[in-house]
Amino acid sequence: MTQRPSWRLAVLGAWLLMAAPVSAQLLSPGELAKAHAKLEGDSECLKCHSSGKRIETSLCTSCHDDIGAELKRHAGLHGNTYAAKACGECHVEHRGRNYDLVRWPGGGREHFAHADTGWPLVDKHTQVQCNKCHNTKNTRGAPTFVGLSQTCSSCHKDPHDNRFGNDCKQCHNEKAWTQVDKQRFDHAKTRYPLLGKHQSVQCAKCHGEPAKWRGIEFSTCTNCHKDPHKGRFEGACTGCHVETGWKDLHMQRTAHPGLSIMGGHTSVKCETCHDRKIDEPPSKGARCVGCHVPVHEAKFGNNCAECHKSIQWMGLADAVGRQAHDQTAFVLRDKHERVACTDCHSPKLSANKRFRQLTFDRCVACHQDSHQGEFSARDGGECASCHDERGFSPTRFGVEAHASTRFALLGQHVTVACASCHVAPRPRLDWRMDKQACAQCHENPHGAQFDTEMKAGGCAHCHNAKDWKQPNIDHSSWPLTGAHSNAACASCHHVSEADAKAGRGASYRGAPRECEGCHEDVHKGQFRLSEPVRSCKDCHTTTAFQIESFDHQARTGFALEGKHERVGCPKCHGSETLRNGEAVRRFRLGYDKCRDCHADPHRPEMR
Amino acid sequence: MARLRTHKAQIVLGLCVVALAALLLRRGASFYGLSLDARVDHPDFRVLSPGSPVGHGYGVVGTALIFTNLLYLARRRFAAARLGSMRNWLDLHVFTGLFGSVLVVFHSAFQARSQVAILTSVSLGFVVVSGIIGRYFYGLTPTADLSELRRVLDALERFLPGVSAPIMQSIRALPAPTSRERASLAMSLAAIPAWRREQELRRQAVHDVCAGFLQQHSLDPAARKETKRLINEAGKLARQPVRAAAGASLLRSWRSLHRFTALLMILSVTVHIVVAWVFGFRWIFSS
Repeated sequence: MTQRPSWRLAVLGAWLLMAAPVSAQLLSPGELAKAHAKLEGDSECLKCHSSGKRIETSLCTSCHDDIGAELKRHAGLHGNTYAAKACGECHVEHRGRNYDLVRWPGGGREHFAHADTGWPLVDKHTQVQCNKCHNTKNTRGAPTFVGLSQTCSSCHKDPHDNRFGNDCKQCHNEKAWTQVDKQRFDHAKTRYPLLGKHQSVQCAKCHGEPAKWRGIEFSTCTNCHKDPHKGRFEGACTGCHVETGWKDLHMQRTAHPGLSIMGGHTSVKCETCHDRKIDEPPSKGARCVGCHVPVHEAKFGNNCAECHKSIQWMGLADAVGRQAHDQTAFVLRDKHERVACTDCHSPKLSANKRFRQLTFDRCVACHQDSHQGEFSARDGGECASCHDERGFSPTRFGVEAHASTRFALLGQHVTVACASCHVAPRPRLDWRMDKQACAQCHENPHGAQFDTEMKAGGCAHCHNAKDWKQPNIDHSSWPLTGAHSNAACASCHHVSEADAKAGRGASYRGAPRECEGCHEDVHKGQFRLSEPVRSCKDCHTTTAFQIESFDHQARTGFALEGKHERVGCPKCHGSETLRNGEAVRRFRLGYDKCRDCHADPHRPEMR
Repeated sequence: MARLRTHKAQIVLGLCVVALAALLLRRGASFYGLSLDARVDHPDFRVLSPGSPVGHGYGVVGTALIFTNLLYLARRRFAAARLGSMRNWLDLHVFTGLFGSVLVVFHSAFQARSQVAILTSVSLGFVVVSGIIGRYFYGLTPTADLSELRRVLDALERFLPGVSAPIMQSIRALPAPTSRERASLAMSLAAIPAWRREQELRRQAVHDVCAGFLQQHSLDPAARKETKRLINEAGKLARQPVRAAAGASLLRSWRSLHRFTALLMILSVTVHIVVAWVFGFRWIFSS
């Protein structure tokens, strides 16, 4: 009997039918809560779950952005107490459509410890209904408890219109709005800061008893004070009086109409100017020259107050002095602009000498001569020929000026720092130098090799100031041709052991004149030690070591004909290792018969 | 003696399963008794729920036992390898099947909420029940051994000399018991009346032969009584090959059903494990 799988198919069908009515929910471990109903279905799993992470917080907060913001700010219940927990630990899902996802810690909203949000409820706040504060909706339009600010003004209206900032706790507490901490209250932040004598006035004097904190009139002094002048003076009291005291004379002078009577005028009696009556203008007029002699003889104009604004004759403000200085014979430029006034107008000088009789025609009137008269003969000792107001250094004595001396600066000397040649010990470097010969500053690296030339013209016989390494040398006794014309001097004239021992530079006399003197014999004596002897020049030129065209027959007597023409050189001239281990290409082969290279395929036994 | 030992072992095994179930039930009675909603607020929610450490552990160990249970199939498949006695393997099969099932039930916390879980539960229940019934059938099925019949016939020879040979001859003259190698369970059940008839024929054959011998021999009442008892016993033992063939056929088709539902269960368990693992429910290996 053959096996008939019909009953198995029936069982399998029945088994699958159990899943059929809810095929969309094959994997889901239960219905989602009402709030998440739209996420129902096996194709939606990855909206909340991610591979290997159960429930991904970032996926939750992609919708619950308000919670995400709390977590980010470490604020609120989620950002404080439950920051380290996964969402699913508290908000357990798949418990059915009617399951309440929010499980109030403590068993109910009434047991909720508000301190867990990082903002404990105290005093009056404990009596407030939750929805009094938590009455907002989240971005999904659902009522929410999160996202409230902890600032008082986020719930309370600010009766002070933000005059005291938003830190209400500076004065108020949570017990009662009216319990103001007077010690912490800063009247300076009100529209009426307390100044002078007002600071010591009792609160009740203005705010009454019982205190009235709002609606107090204070726009004019007469709101509180009586006018002793009975309206004789127009304008506000503050035109003459200040809070420091009714009889504060000093402040009265500040408020003097027309011009200030501070500074030098403080010691002048009112009657000296108001010679007719105290409330009438002076008979001499209101201008300075009415009383004062114009000592500047109109050089600075007739408006004294332009400079002497603060009514003080001496000791003007630096800025004023500097501004006016341009009108004097000595305009302040460059470094002089930054010199303190008292450095020139020394307080040690008498007032007469300090400003108007100050000597300033020569630099030495103020500055010390650093050269101690060394250049007194030059331009009559006037500094300006070398220095200007930009600073003592660098000087104006440049390369061009140096040409006026006995040693014009040429070539590389132009770039040499002054102090390299003009060294101490004069008061400020040694500017007068007798040295003019090269060897007085430079070391002769050639030793005694060129004594004759040195006597004839010194270093300049070969070198110039432009570049030491490009000497003017007649190399015609051994012409530099081909590659030699580009070779560095030192590649032939290098410091030998003997030179080094003698402590001198490279030898230029007695340098080898033959190729072997400088070049290594790469042929390892093949053409020197066997006949016929060949010199390097027989095959090579100074242009390049590589031979451009090699006439094999003419040079070796073995014509390359036929197939030999196409045979590569190494095929016959192979590389061999010498006894000392060096490798060399063998050019002198010593054989010219065919059988020397080729095997005889016909009759090898006949060889 | 062997039968007694088997019964004892079965009782001990049954008690162990009940004890395990009772122990786990006692541990979580207050939790398992709650509604789905109320469980979340129970302190044991984070311990005994299917995704929590202990509840998940039940599932892991139970699944491991169920997979171990499948080794019995391998043993049967590769019987030629003779890796331990089949009886011991069957005992292990029963032990792991029962204990694994109990642990899986506690892993589900008595609530199969996903469709995969429902399918798994139904399959598991069917596998367990069919396994228990199959094991019962297995115990009832006799061997086709006629040695016992011969022993009874030898005893009968004392009263009715020469009766054995004609009895054996008449039994052999009957057709061999019907054996259904690849019959479905329904077909095997349908064949029961036929098997009953075959049994009756064998019993009748014994009684017919003995009736002739009794007429030829005059026996005292005591001997007659003993002879009748032996004839009845021989009639029962003559039916044994038919019962063995019927039992084996029924067991085969029953095992086929048991195995198929077990495969369905393994399939849904695998889906469950893969889904849980992918979503990060990895027991102590969760990140």
